[in-house]
Amino acid sequence: MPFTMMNRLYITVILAIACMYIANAQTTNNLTGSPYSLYGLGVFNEANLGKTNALGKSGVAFGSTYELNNLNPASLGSIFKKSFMFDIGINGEMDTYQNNKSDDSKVRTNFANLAVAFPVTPKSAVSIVLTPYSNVGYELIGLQTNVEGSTETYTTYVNGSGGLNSFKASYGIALNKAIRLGGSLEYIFGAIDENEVITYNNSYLYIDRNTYYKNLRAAVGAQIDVNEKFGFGATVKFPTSLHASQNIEVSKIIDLASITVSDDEELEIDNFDLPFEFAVGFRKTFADKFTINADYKRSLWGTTDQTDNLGTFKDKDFIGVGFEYLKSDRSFKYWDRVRYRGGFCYDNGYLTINDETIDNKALTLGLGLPLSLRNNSFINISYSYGKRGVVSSSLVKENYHMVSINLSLENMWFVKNKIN
Amino acid sequence: MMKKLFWLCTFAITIIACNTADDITLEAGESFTNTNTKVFSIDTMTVEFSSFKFDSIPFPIGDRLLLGSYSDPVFGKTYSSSYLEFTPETYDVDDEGVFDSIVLVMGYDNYFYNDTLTQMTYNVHEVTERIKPKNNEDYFYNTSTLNYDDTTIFGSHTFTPKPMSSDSIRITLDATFGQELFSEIQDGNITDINLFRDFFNGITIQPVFNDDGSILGFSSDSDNTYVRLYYSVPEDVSNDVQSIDLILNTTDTPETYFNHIESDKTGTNFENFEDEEETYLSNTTENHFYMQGGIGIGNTIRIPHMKSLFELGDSGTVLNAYLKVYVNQENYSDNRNLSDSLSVYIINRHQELSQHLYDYAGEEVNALLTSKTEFSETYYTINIVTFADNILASTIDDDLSLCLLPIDYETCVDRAIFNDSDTNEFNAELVITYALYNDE
Repeated sequence: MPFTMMNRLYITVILAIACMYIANAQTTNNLTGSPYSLYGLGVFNEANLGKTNALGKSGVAFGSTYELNNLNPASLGSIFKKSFMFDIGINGEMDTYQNNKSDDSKVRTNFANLAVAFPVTPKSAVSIVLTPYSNVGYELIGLQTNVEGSTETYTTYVNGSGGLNSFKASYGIALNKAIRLGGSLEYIFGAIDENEVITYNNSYLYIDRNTYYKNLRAAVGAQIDVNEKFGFGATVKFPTSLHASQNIEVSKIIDLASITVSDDEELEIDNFDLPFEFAVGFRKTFADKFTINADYKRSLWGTTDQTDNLGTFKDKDFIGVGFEYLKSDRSFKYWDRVRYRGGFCYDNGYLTINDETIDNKALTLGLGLPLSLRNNSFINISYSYGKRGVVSSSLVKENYHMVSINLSLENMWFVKNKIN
Repeated sequence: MMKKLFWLCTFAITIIACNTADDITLEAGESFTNTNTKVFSIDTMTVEFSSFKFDSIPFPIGDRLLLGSYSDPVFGKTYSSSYLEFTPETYDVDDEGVFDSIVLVMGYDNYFYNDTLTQMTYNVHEVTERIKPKNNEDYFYNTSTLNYDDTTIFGSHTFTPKPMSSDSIRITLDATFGQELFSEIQDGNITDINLFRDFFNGITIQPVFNDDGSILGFSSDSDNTYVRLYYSVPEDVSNDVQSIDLILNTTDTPETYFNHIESDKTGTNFENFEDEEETYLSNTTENHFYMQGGIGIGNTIRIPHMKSLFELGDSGTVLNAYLKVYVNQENYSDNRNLSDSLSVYIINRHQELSQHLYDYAGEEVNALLTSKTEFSETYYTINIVTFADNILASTIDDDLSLCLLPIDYETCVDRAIFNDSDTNEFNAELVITYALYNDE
């Protein structure tokens, strides 16, 4: 039985550390600096585990044999029976923004994921994955607005921080050599903090909105291998409604003194609906060295019937394509065992703002650096360069460079246990 | 709270820093944010102005003496006299001493109103009853008066006031009285205040009512204002003149001195102002409302529909609120000048002053004068945010108003004629800036 007391302890400790880390990260750091994160729940986290970051953020058809694949729970059915997998990642992002008034840039780093997976039967496995779900991090200054009924203007400063987290438990089983099925239950929770300061003459109005979201979301997946080198995958994520409550604290500074205007806690506000989503993809390996894969994903935001203050929700299409080269994983030359990856992805966004969509495109590159010949442990480094939005009067074009580093470990602790 | 403070500090630093370092922020286009905060400026709210006369104003102990008389084209004859008990600082004089003279010295405190180039005459009379408030009260009022011997002039002084360039005026008092007082003290007949009071009640200074000059302020402090009794001691080789002083009691109650301030309102808009419960709307007084210290002409500034701000939306708050009240040029002059700032009081529906209007920093709010001579514009500006918030937060209708009065209105006669909001030009303005922060 691979799941020993020792490992249970490890898992507990790791999860505890991760929880602290995530809690800390949410209050002190924002992964994204995107001004687009002020819409909805923020910018949805696209970084994932292992290699998929470098493969155009796609890979629903990959198994979890060598690296934990978080895109499809069915992949867990392919975990070797004595394998214990662990994946931890961090992200660094440098963003530059541009509209037709100004530009700016910033750098941020953050926790990306923490995951463990282990078999429960020879043909099935579970994984527990903790990732950011969405990130909010924006700061807008000097917004001039007319005072209604006057020729004067007031100035608004807005900033937002926080985001949602995902704690996901998945189960996957191999029905036979060719077909794997899986399902997952995800607890999405977190808080978004928005601050707004209005200045008018020497008066200030300060509005602090803390919105809390939480609910469960279910997903299922399937993978079909035509043969070892060719396979398909598909996932379906079911709609859910994130329960929302809000604390609003309003205060003003007048005559250089601060006055509480109102302080309301746990106000019921509209739930945030996550849509029905489905993804399909394939993988194909040529000449034992080249693997290509592609995903298509559609998120039916249009059917959630939600509106943002300025944006309208619309269905989002995502296309991701990845490519991997591996000379030989048995070679004694280290660089022969390194996996070289590339890819690109495109999505047309889930929001329309002033009849303009905020599309997003990115090029990805990556390396999978093996740590050992004896197991499937890697350091996965990926880099992506992307563009979001357009330059216009009301929208912002954002260029981002993202580096993510994942430590994907397999079996290492079990090996030691066996020796002991 | 700490978090908020931290953020506000960060924000402040950002504001300071943003000129030099384009930090991590972005100047976004107007429609980019999802903020639904709206700010409104409202300048159409009704303001009701009226005037009234206080029944009486208590005299604040330690305050200035007001003496004089002048005729005001709008407010009528304004007149102030004082009743004063001076008591000896000492009851010890040289047995060989010989009385010389007795004088009343009144030290200027630099306050004056109206024309100081006109000669004034102050007559001093002996008060014929104890100087103390009626009905065992501790304080006198501007309406208080006492009997005095108006047939005998105890001392008289005609002079051209120099309230800024001179220290004091000196009035020589009746030498017979001085000799008598000196002897009584010298003989040991007066050795304490009670024996003194049996001998002498005090004086009243009565300016000539028909003089049209100025009203002057005098100090009540014993260093500046006193009665001095001079005497000499023949055997003293230095031959210096010695003296004993009689001074005012400016600290203990019951009070033993006060100003009596009156006016002749015949033919003015205030002719019928009698009961302070009765206010006169500005449209009955030529679209003006008034203020006069000393006499006690007060005003009420009422904003009856303040709560109509709630019709804009539920979650709102006042960011700024000010009232501008204009004074027409013909209604002030160098002689009858406007002071730079006025006190602002909160007043109830019975015209009882409850307290000063305070701002959020805890400072008294003053109406501040702006004079733009190039536009012939003269107005007072009053920050009324706290007053507006006070009304908006009240659950019962307190019917509170504001009242403008001169600073130290009890012991000055400054006056002003303000325009209401329905004159031809220079109308009073109320501007409220209201922010809706959670408009759905």
